[in-house]
Amino acid sequence: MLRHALYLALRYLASSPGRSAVLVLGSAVALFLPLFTGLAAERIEGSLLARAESSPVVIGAKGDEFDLTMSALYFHGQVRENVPFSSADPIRAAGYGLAVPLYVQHTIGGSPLVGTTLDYFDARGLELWDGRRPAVLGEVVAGATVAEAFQLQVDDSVRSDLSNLYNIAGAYPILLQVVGVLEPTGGPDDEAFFTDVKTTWVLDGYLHGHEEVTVANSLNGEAAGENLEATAAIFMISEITEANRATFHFHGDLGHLPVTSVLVFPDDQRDHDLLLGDYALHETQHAIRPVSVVREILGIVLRVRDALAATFSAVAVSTLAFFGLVLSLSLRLRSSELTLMRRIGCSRGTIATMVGAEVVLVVLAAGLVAAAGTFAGLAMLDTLL
Amino acid sequence: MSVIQARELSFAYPRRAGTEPFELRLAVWSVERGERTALHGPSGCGKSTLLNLLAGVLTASSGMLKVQGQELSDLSEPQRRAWRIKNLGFVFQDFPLVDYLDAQENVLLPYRLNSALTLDGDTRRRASDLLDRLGLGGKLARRPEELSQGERQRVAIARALVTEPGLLLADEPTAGLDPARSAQVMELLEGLCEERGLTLLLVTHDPGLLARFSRTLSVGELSAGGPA
Repeated sequence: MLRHALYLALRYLASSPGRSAVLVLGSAVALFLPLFTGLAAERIEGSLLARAESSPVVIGAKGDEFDLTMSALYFHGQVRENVPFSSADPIRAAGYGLAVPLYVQHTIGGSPLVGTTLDYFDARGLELWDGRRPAVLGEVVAGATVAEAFQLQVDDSVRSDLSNLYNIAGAYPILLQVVGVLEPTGGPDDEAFFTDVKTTWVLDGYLHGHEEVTVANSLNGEAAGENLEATAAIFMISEITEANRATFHFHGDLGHLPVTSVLVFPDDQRDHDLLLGDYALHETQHAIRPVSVVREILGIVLRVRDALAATFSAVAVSTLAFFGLVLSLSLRLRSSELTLMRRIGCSRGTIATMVGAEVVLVVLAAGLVAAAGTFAGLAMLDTLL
Repeated sequence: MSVIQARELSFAYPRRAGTEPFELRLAVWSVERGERTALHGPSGCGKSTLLNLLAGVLTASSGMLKVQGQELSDLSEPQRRAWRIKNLGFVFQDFPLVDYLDAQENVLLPYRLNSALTLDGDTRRRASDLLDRLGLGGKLARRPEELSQGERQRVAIARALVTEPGLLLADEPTAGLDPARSAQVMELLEGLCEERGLTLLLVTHDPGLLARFSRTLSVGELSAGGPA
């Protein structure tokens, strides 16, 4: 009997595709909104927390913890103040664990260029899909997403973005060599370029290369003796090559050069606690636990989610009410059909089964549409996370 | 052999405020197999009530009512429904059809609505043969909106006959039709009854139609104890 009820329900729904489509889509939206919002919030929460939990401590200049977390974990935004490269030294000296400097200041084609050390790759467990890690000045490794977006392969070149359009006396974009492409991780590392921190200092102009200053092109000429003064006419190198790599140099102490943060992976809980204790009294720097910061952000996200859930529940209830109204009006319009069925021997139960089958088919179709929408939405979300 | 036998039968609707009490009484009444009987009488005399009693839709308050040899009061409501769908054919006023089913599916509707009937290849063949016999062989897949009024009537008649009933009940099948159309419907029904040996019980208001019947009964008189 159920087979016949389903058949009649299908024929009824198929007889008016427009009306059925409106019912299915209306119900699908009512199902999709709370379903997608709940799952998306869960996924965002999971993704943010996973990244935060894999980044135990971040050291940075005292200031906004949120900015520091966004910069060190997701390579987004900018910190107000940098810390010296040597900030990692006391942590290493105290044996608190692996200290990885991060300099998130530059971009390539709008994607972050992260200056760091090879320890970063080990600490994050980043695997190479092709090529090798950056070994010398001017080499970069591309995350999986940016490599795909820019169609980059090993041995391709990329040019860094001009960081300050109006600083004509500063450093210019430099052509960098792609030496590796990372395996996808599903995290922010996919969307960044990685290079040795010294290469990012080249982009700042702290490390630089230029043609040799000689008596002929110097400002003070032969009168200078050994102390030749360079002029603005000296040609600055804008591409780091095998031939000129050795000429890049820095006038001063590398330890003073800036990094935006130092990512610390303590060996154990004791080192973790001692590290936080040490920095609690630090005058210019602080040590933050990204998990706490992310949980604070998630608190806001969850409140928004709860508010949305309440709104969508109201939408679902009103849709259900409309659905009920449409069904009741439809039954009224079909009274002659249902009377006929009763008169030729159909029981109330069979009619109820037939109408129930219509509702079930609409809800099933709506569920499929909502599930497909949720699936597609979550897939899109995954590309954004 | 009697297809319908009624004795000391009575039926009364429950009393409702503001309505006249109604009671139908039949002392003795019978209809023989193959007989074509017209039931007539003024509105409210109980014609439709009698049809509903014969169909087992309503149950008599007292007395005996046997239809096709079955004492209806012995059956429960689901049993009466199953019995009705197997043994009786109905032709209703306005010839209602289900508008989202095609002609053949409309004829097969009783099979989709009652588990006592089995829808198989033979049934489908019988439905299409019936439609073919009624001149609708080429229109099996047409929906009611694509059929003329006369064609819709024939689909409804085919639906009443597809279960091969012994008794055909027709409730004012010609009401609202012009005389020519009315005559067409009657010719069709009479022809099918003749061909299949069916017993026909037809309710009508139309005095012109009564002349076509070998037996006519005024339900009012019957109920008052008149000739049966």
